Amino acid sequence: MSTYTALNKLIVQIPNTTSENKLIEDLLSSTLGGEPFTLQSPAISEEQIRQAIKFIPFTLSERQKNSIYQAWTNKISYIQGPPGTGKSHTIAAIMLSAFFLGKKVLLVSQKKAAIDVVQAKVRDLSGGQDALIFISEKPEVKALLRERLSNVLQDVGHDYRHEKLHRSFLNHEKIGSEIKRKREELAELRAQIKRLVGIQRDYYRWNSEFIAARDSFVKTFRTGQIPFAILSNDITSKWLRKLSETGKKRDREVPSLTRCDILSLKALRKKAVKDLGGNPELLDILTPSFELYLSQLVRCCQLYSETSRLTNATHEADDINKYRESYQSMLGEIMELQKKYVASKQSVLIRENLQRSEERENLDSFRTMLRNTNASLIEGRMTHLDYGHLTKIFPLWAGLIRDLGSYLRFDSELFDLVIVDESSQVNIAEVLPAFYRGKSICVVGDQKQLGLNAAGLFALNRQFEDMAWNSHFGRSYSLSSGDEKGLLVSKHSILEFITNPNNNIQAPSSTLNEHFRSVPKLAEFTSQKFYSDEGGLNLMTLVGDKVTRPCFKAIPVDGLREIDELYVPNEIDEALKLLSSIVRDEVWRTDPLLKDHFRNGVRPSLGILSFTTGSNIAINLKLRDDFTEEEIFEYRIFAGTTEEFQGNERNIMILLLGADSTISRSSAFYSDRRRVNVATSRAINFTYLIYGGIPSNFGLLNSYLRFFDIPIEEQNQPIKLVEKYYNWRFDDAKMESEFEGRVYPYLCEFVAKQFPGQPWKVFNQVPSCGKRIDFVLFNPISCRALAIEVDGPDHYDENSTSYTDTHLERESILLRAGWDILHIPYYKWYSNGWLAEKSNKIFCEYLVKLSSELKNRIERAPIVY
Amino acid sequence: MSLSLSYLKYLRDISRKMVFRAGFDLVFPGTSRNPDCLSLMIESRDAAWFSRASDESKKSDRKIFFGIGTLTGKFKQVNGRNKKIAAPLFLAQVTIDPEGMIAFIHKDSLSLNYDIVQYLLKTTVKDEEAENIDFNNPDLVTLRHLLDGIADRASRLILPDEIRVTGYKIAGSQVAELIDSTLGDFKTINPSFSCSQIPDFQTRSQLIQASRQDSTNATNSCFFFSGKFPD
Repeated sequence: MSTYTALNKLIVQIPNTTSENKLIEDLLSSTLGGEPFTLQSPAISEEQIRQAIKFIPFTLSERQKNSIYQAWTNKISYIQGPPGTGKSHTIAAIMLSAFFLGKKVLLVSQKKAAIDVVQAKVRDLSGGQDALIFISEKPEVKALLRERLSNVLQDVGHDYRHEKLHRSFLNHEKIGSEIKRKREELAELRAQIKRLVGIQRDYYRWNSEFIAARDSFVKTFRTGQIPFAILSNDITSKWLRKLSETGKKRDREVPSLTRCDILSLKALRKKAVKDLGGNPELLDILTPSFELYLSQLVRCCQLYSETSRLTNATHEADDINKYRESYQSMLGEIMELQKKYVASKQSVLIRENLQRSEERENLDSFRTMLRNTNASLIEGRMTHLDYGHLTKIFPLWAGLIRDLGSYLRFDSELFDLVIVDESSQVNIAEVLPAFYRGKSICVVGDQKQLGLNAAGLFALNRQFEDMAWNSHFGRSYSLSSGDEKGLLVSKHSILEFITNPNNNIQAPSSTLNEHFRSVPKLAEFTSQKFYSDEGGLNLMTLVGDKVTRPCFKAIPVDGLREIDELYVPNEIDEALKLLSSIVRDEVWRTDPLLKDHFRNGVRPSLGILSFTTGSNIAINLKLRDDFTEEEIFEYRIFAGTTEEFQGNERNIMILLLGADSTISRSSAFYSDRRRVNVATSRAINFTYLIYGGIPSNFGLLNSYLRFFDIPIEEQNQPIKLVEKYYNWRFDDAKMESEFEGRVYPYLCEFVAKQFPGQPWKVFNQVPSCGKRIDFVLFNPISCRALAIEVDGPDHYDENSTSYTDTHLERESILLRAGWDILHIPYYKWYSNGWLAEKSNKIFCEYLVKLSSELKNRIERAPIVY
Repeated sequence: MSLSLSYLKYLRDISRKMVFRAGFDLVFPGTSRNPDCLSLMIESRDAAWFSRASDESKKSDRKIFFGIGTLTGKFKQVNGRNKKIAAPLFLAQVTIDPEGMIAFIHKDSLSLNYDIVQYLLKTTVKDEEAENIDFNNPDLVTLRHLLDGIADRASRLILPDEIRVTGYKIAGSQVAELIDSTLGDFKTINPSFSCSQIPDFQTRSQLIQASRQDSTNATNSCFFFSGKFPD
């Protein structure tokens, strides 16, 4: 069924006020008639969603969790996903959460690539089973599904189906119990870690306060490094009382001290020397400095006593690293179990819903329908199917928007949620029939990537727009009003419509900001140029040796653009030469610019993105002439325009500008921020920019070139690269405590001693993943990097209501990005109120252990490709 | 409610008027920018073609279409450039059954070939200039109304559910009438468009030959072709 027919069916419903779909009815009447739009979905509790999220077999960031929550609690929600920030991951998570909420989801997109990615993720996350039903008009896709459904029907088609259901159910229960047991263990481990982090934090806070008081005392009275007495709370109170009394005596109007006072002060002085370790020479009872000295000394002793009391508790924290490791390992086990849990849930659903013969016949009819190619025959067969039942067996469906009608009947509210991926390229007319099949919608996309407006072909369609508009609205509603509200098919995507501030919708939005796709320098351009107003992206690839890999090369070629055909022949020739060297000479194994990216020996995927359709046609023709189908398949070579590349990514991207230095009148096209954002963010590892010339008024492209203007000699010096471009360096001014000041030389000494002759570097306050890592041990030659976390203010965020959760979330983010982290506990480095010396036996023993731990970690630190 | 209804009707109408710029202005081998483009005259009985077309349709971005009426040759655009065209005037998507050599028509996908229309509308602009078109130009407004009339006439064309290649003739007089009136409108739209209707081409070679001529020809020939559909 085409969009045209589907909309016709809606048109029949509306005037008879028999609209079966409340969502569409409300959406239109609210936008066009100004009536209020109620966002809230039918009741689904936060707790239900929280429980469902717990079963998703991978870790999610807080923003991803929030996106899932919003999708289930609102009739319309929006997930903004800048390039490489895990849109597909989040969609897969929403879909899997539906399993555990007893809900049904339909995913639609214009781009098959977008659906392929989600399908692969869902398959991987559900133990390799196809939990998602994907159908298209393509015969081979239908054949695959038919085969799968045949297997399902065969499975339930004999006499033992009840026993099988029973076994599935038991298996599901068994896995569920195992998960529950492990979760309890995990919760215990988490509680232990939280408790021990709490102890460390308390120690850190008291000791920091003590050090501040101690340093002030030492500075004021030039005492040198003295030991401090441990006082009980009672004794401290007595000292404070005494000092208050003597202070009052000295403040009397007649300031002379009586003999009795002097005797009393002398006794106090003697006691201070004996009990507090005060310096008799500095305790001059005749001056007010006596009280000042004593009050500061008592304060130091009081704080020192607190830290000493906590020191005993910190011994428990010696095992925190073991707990951390156990926690991560347990988490991995649970994730694996949860994949099995999803698979077993699917198995139960299938067997449970195919016990009766009419249920099996319904599925079989659906399977048979997939054989049909005649559209009217398919439509006829659909009328006899029970889609409510089909979606009960398989709650997760996906399809290309234009293919939906060939297998999904036009039934209202068949799904609880309809998700639209790459929604900035989906027009309102085509998506409305998909919405009709849902109760709520979640729009996924990015307003900062290409919309319909950017594509020239939609501009051409606008010629028919006013005619169609005026013929139906007459004077009752002007085209410009429709334009203001984002209602025009050729101009506004569904994303622009939903997010239009002139409408009453106000859908809640959630922005994903952890970038996982491109090597950091490529991602940094995207972050700085296009997302800085939103705080930038957290570059989760700013990890280990990825920072030193070259990732960009500009190749200027001479030659002018063909006037009629919109391409520069030399660009095409250069691109083909480059492709040939990669595909046939396999330079990705040997070229210094590429080889580090592909050390694992896996062939890179290749993309050729053309800014103009002329370049795209020219390169596609040559591709087919010059390369075999096998080569195109093996390297997944795809050549397309920027519009076609949205939603796609490749390891190596070749950008063809189709421009020369004389085309300055095309500045608006080449400076379109959305276009340049998409074009420059497609590469995972490396981008080649081939261009005939760039006029000086192409601001954005010129700044792109400048951003990557790295002299070749610097590209061969990794340390220089990380220092200059990622601000990885050692900066004494960024040392936050005397403790860090002691750890740093220790680390330097350690690498020099343990790995002599190797180019290890120690950096501090290293920016990565939107955080700062205290220290990073980095070897650009061996490609190993280790994060060292020491206790400090970053770890115990005072503004956070739950500092231990914040601490663990920080750790989780760094681990998710691929860092190996070693924690160095603060309390281990203190003795008697001062930083421990190597002569201290206990400290020395600790350093031996630390050294061994560091060595092990460095040797096992993963090389991340 | 009436505003919602008007909006749905607008959506429905505009959904049929999409320019895909899918290269549907040149769809024959030797003329197409796509060397793999397959085409088959409706009267030809060619099992191998059906088999190839079936394989072609399995590719993710390709579909098989039924072309109604043809426009071939070159016509002069207002900017003085010659535009080569070898394409159907109307098209509808089909699904191929290679074994029975049957093509099932997706009737509601029948549409005027807007990829040709854009040339008649003098809007063959460069990618980067599309934004600058003045759509309120009175000439363009008139042309659009004419095109709307053509599209409307095409929507009333009665198509069969399926086409079997042997001896098939699609409602001949209906198509011929549609092509006739369309060409008349095209001439009104673009006076530089000169086209004389000639009899049906019986073979593909006749059609290819015609496409290489300098003059423009239109016929009521019908054929199948494969095309890249925007993905």
